[in-house]
Amino acid sequence: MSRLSQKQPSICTAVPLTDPDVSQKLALLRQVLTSCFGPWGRLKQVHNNVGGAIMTTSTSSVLLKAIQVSHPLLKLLVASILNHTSRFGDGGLFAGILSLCLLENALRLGVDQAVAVGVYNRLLGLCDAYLVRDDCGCKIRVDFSSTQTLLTLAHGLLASKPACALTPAEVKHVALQVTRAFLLTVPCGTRGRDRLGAAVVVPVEGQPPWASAALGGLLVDMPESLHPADLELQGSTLIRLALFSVSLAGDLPEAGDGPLELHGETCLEEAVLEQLLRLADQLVSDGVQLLACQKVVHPVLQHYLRVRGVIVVERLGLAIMEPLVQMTDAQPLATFQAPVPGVSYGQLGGLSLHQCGSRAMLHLLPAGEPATCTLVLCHRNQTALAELKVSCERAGQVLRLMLKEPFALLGGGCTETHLAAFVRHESSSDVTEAVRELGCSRHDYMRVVGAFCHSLESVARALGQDGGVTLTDLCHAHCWGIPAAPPADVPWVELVRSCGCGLMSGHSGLEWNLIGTEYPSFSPALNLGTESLPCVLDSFFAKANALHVAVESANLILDLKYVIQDRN
Amino acid sequence: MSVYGCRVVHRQRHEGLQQLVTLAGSARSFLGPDKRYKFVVDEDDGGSSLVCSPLRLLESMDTGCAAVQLLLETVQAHLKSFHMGTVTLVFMVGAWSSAALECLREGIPVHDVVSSMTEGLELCSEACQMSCVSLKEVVRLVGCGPRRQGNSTVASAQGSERVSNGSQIISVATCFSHLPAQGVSKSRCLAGRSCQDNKFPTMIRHNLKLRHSRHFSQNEETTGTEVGCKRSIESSFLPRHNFEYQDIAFLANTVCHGSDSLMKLVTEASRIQTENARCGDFSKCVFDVSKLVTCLLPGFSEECSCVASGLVTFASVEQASIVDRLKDQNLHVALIGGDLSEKYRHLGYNKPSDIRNIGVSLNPMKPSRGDKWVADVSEMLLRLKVNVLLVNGVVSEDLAEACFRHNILIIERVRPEVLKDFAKATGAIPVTYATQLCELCVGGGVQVTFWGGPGRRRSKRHRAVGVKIGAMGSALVTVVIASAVQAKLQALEDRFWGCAYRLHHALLDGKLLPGAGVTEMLCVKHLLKAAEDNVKQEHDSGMGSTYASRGHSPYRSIVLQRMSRGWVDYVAMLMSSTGKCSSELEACTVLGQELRPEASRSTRLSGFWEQPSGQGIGDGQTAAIYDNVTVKLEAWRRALDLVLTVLQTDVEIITGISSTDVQGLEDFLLL
Repeated sequence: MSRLSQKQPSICTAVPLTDPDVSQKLALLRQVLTSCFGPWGRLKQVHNNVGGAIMTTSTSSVLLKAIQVSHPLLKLLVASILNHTSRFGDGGLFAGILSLCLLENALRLGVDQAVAVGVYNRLLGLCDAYLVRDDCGCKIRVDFSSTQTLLTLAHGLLASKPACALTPAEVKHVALQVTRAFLLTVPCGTRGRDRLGAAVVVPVEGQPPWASAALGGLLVDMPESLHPADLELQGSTLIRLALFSVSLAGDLPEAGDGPLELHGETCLEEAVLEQLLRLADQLVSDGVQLLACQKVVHPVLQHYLRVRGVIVVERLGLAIMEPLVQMTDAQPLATFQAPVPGVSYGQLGGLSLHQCGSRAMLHLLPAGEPATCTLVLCHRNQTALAELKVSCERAGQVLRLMLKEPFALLGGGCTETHLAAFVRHESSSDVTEAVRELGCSRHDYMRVVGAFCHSLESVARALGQDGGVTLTDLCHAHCWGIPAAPPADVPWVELVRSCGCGLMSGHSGLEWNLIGTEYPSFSPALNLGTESLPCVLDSFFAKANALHVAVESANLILDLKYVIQDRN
Repeated sequence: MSVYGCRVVHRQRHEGLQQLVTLAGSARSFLGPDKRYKFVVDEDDGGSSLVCSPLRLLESMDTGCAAVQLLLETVQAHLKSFHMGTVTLVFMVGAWSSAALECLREGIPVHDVVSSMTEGLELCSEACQMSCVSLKEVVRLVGCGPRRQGNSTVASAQGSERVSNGSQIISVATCFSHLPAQGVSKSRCLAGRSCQDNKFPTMIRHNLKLRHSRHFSQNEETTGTEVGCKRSIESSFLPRHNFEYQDIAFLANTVCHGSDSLMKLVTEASRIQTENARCGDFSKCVFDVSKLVTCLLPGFSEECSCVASGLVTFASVEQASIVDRLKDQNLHVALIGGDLSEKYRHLGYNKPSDIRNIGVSLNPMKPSRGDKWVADVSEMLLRLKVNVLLVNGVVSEDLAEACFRHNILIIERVRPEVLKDFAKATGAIPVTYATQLCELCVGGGVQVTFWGGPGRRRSKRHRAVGVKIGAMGSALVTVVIASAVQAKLQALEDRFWGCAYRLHHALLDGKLLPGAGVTEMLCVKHLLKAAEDNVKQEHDSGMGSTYASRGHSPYRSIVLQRMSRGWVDYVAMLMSSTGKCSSELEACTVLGQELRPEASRSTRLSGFWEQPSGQGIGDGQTAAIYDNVTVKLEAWRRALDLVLTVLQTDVEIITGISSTDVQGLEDFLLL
């Protein structure tokens, strides 16, 4: 007899943000995210308390997936950041830090939370409107006639992740390969279908990052029985391919779990194998030269096909199936019990061998236009390789998104300080109207505006080194960093080399102001007349959305009055 | 619901680095030609093991703390790629961890440590690439003379060289003491090469090319690291050289690093492979490490270790009669990839759980399915005239009995690489199921003999008899490693593979680095030079503008100095472990004097490199000692990567901690 336990009543917590425990947790999460940010960010080691595998990372999507936060407010924030990074690839840390700063600043002010939410919303609108303006001072139009912008974007994404353990030269090399991989996925012909091809990442452990390469076509593990000499026999003609998504291991994948009744002396295995061999006969007579299977192929079938000159590639895995279908126009077959329809065969342009260290791989070359590519990533150990893989995938995602909106934002904190200066200036010019619309006092309005700008500047400051100082100039409102602990006898002006994005260099008669201190509002000047490109760029699409995510999740959390938890 | 914890590691007393220093310290005694064994005792069950390599040491330690696990991961990854060089790696992890700790203690920001150390290693890698000596020169310079007249034993060859080439060996030391403080031009003054060498100019040109293509032009691919990578991309192909066996023996001797007896096994294996290659129709391949197999033989003294062509293994005594019958014949072989039993199914096959045969007529006389299978298989083996079965897995007892009756020799648990080699040499095709066998799958030309073992005694280990299986044209060589102390076998085997791969990588790289600490001291001088440049420029042009114009960290010189201490420690350890100095402290003093800019040639130090490293050979002259290029540079790089990763870690997040666990712990903050 089962016992029934009494149902627990739910717990309802009022005004959760005033709880000191919650604000401590918010501060801790902010510290963790802030210290991850930027090329001088620090790494986080994540492991469980029973000696599991250790992960070292500073990427928000990896970190936030690995840790689980205890409070529902934090869960809400983490979920929205993860959602953002899964779609946009970049800007997770930016969104997290900005959101937490907005929250903390609003709470510190002691302004009515509804007022803070209203002002934040209004300022977000202001930023949005500015960012889409043609004369926006912190964005540049991407010139597709040169790869420079693409390279800079990819470079920035890789250089900001120290866990990748790359030297500057290696970063350049890998960024180049990522960009090449992206360009390989852009179809060059106009055959009516203008969708991007797939880029498959193949991580190889044990080789230095210099061995990383972008290749057209796809790579699969070399079948054991295949010798390099066999590949030369294939010649240069098109290769006919049959693709199976069903297991050809000789079992009955469709049978399910129930009992199976067989008549008389029938042996199931032999029956299935017979069917497989019949299938093999058909493939051979149809002139198929390569059989690819997502799962396992029965050794007898492999042997049977091999002696008839068919190459068998098994255990492709799910990830490569879709790109392979795209590349070869084959239809994946989900059964081996029916004859293969002729239309489902695909075509390959050829086969070759790709050697990466001790690992030999079969290179499937596309027939015709190659919009499918493989990015082979190499690194010396697992930790670095995992981080490199994530970073390169993010970079690929960012580059692809750039096709939607051919813009990029200034990196290195310059966009943040520039926006902050702009918001300060704009909001001070229409205070009366804003106060009337929002129904709050002028004083409160100005304080929340200050909180918003400080939050943006805090993000810029998070990019700086430990103990370093961050400045903003009072002309273009770019962000300038000074290294930590400079020797005592050097004036700090000497230490300023160039702004965060690299567009401007020091000693040009600029006036500076410490970030976080008050300065008279001014309209940031536009960067006119400079031909040179910034050397640090951010994705426009990702950052604009991250700004939304940050402000809206902060607003949502500020708006929360009760948390109701089910304890059952 | 579990609540998760988050712990902050303090920067000032960086625990991770401290743990690395301690761990690496315990592996210091494995450095150098005279390795000391360590006992690892498990207090719980009283078991103990004898270890002589960092991998075994780390494996036998409790991996509770994160640093052990990261270090183990790094060591394993390095071994997977190179099969050697982990002692250097672990030592440098320790040395650079303590260098980084010192920097932190002095308040140098993490970022400056990271960028300067990365730059320092790049500088040194570049310098090392330029001081490489090509194999031909190693062999020609030191190995010429009467060697070729004599017989091929290594010892006599060495003896004669020593007499004829004494002057050149001294140049190792002289060159060293001037080593490249002056940058490119002097760094070419290579150890072990005489300056009149007429090959010298070409070498310089090559070096200059390396140097100039260095600065990140993306088309040129010849920076130091890249050379390494290119090489490792090709690493699965066999190194091909026009070396004779004598050259190999000599070369092996220069990289034996004190394991003379084990290296002798390697050269013997190379000799057998070369001979076999001559019989077969291979191109000139002098040493193929992938065709080596080891076989451990406990109970015999270490002198009994030997090398045999083909596969040496132990078969049960019952099979001895089969071997006796089969010997001196041309035999047929079949290769089976899985287990040889009726129940075995290939990987990935899911057997339906519940099968019922309905309408089966019950016939008690009918043989069971298993019996039928045994009958079928043995009949097929007979029909195909198979004499030898090499099986990757195990063989079912019924079938083994049947084969015994039909005089078919079965060898179980054969490694896949061995199967592959037999497949290549005999033309057999490995199959997964015995039912797949056909005429095409059976190979020929296999011989089976008793393997007498050391001293022609028939070794009866565990009631087993030694069997040697060979095939015409196979390069397979078995190295039998014997030891009277069973606990040492594992360590001996590890060291043997270390030797084999040292030779392999030397052939693969086609060049070597001057060994016995010369390369490390070269790096030290380079770093000190670079550090000095920094200081000098600051003095010349006022500090601030230096940073602004050159982009160097203000702490570059001090970090580089600290980093160079790591290598000094390494050489000091080497000197004290080889007995050249009585203690590490003394060695440090000697090296310190050597590194002083005004110091002239230190006789004491030169003596260290002149003298033989391991076994004392007479008059203080021996073949020079060399190290592998790629392996050493990669080990350094991996060591630095680990140190910098740990250095840059500021927070350790431990998941799966409930809120009750952390009460009373101040260090923990709950997220």
